[in-house]
Amino acid sequence: MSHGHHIIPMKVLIKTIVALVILTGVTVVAALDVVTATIGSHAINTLIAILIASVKAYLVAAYFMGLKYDSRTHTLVLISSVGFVILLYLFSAIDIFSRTPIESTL
Amino acid sequence: MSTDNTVTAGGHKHAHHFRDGLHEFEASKFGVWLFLATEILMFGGLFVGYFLYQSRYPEMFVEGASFLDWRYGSVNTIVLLISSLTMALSIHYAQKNNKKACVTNLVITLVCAGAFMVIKYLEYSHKFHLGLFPGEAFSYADAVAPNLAMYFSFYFLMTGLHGSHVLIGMGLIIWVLIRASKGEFNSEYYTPLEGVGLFWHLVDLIWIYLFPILYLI
Repeated sequence: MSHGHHIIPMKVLIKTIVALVILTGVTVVAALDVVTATIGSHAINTLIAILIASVKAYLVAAYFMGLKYDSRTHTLVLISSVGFVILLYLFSAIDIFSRTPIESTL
Repeated sequence: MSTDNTVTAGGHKHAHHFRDGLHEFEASKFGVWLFLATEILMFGGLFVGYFLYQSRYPEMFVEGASFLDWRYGSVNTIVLLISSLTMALSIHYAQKNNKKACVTNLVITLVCAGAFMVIKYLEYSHKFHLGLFPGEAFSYADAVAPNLAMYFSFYFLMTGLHGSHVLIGMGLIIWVLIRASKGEFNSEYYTPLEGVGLFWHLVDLIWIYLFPILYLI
């Protein structure tokens, strides 16, 4: 056979959308005032929101974009671009958060 | 007959510098992925700025987010997720030579994209009405944080860049929709559909992050 197009099964696509909609609900509930008040700090809430979003992003990339069935090279392209964004954040953060405040007497 | 000169049912013949149709498909798809990497880097700059300033001025960002209605954001999230599903389904049906189902799913994708933009329009006009403009144009009088304008600079830049991608995506979907309805795509050839699909899923991926950080934090 000259071609190897993979057809993502209908069942997988349906399961993916159900999981994505449920996770959207979880994100909203986790961010409600009642819940955030019990869980705690702003930083933790941000982290929770990002974690849930990342699970959703994984589902979209793996099943809708078909990376699960695809050439590893495409996954590498995606991960390395995200990696460079994280690198940009880290180096910018080192700069921004290590500056001496203006009101400092140092 | 060798695969070299195969013309598919839809009339597509792979370019001469490719071994066969699959070779052409893989090369095109890799190109789209490289383009998506540049998109991630472009949005990435805005995300990095957002996170740096959000940890600097958390109260200001909370005040800014209070002007956003999470219900609009949630509906838009669901609408985009469904459009991503129908995009994937249109490829699924093209691969199964089901032209009608392929076209139907593309139409649903387009309708969802349109619904997203209508909701975005409602949200934007509400903010413009209050004077919540980005940067220097900010004219809302009752702001508590002195730098609240910065939140709306991030809000409009991030959602604006994303919204323009939705509009471009709609144009691309119309293009593949026309070609699909002409019967150009089938199990042997659906490369443009695959490329537009990947672009559309990326637009969805970016919104998956934009929604919680703008509306819920």
